[in-house]
Amino acid sequence: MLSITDALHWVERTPVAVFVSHSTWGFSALLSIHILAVAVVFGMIAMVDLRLIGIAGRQSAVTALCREALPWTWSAFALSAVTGTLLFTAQPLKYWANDAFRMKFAILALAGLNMLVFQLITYRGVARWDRDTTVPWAGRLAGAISLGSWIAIVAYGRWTAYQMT
Amino acid sequence: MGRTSESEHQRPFGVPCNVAKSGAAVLTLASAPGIVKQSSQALIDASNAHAGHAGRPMIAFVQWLQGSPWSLAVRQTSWLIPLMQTLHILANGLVLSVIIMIDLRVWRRAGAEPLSDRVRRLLPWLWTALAVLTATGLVLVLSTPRRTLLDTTFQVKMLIMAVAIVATVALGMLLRRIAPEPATTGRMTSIVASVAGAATLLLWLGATIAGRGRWIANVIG
Repeated sequence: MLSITDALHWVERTPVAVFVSHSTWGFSALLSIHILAVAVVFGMIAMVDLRLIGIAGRQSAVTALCREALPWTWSAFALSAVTGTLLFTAQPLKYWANDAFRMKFAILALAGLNMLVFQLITYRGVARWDRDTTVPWAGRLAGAISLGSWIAIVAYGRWTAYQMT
Repeated sequence: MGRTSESEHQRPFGVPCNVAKSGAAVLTLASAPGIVKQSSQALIDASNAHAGHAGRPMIAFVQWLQGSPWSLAVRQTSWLIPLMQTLHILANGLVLSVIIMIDLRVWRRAGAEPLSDRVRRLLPWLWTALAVLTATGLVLVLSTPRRTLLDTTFQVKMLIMAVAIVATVALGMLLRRIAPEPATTGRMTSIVASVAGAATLLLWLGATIAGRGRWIANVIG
């Protein structure tokens, strides 16, 4: 049976992985774009979160803000996922064994779940609190969890590099 | 982890070993801040290798900074650098997002909020984020003075950032004057505002990429 380790060894030997790990600029270029994309994801999500929590943008409608921010958030997220996957291929076994890296993805899963619950349940009643009123506690909580998660994702992402020995 | 060792500074971005070992990358990606005991000649050689445009006074300053107690303190506090890097990335994200949100309104791809209101509401966030960006950036420079101050890419980054700040101030002034809509003040103003908004975003994206942009030298060279 194929084990995870076998799979990671296979990944490491693919032409793409060899390019990323051996090119003088490939890894750094991908990392630059990855950090840029993650920064934009964080910035856009933070604006929505701060609006939900009630710290910023209280005059503007939640629905309008979401409509504006979402395309940029998802585009940047897609870019960070692609560049992140390519970075992973450079040293799959080391990343797999990296605790900071694992934490990053555990928190990313939490952020995803939080977003799903917010979208499918809380956001349905958005018409009642779209503007000029306090967001219900479920929405404020979702905003706080999201903001905290994304700060932690960036922090663990950065810490991952320090655990790569 | 107690002290930050030199090896951590060599590969703080997790660049694979085989990259760090391959020729030119040794100098550009992975050259360590020679911690304290480094002769001035070695420092000059290293700075030449970085191809940075720095005169002797600059090299002397970098050498002094590297040996200063502040630089030592930063390098000896293991958690400080990753913390500063994290805050730096977060603040960078806010700067970019604020520009994007203002641009969306300028390009008339966003809601009903008057443009001048949006600018007045969002710009303070940008300046706050920029203050965090600058403060954390200064600590990071302090941790690796030579790799930053004597590095051409870093100097280019500083230049792009200066232009980006001027562009942002100019954009803010322009947009506050076009109240409440660019469209009502004529087609030409509307086009100027759209282009200025796009240019400002590109400058900030450029400054962000140049922040870790030593790879560009490897692509070109």
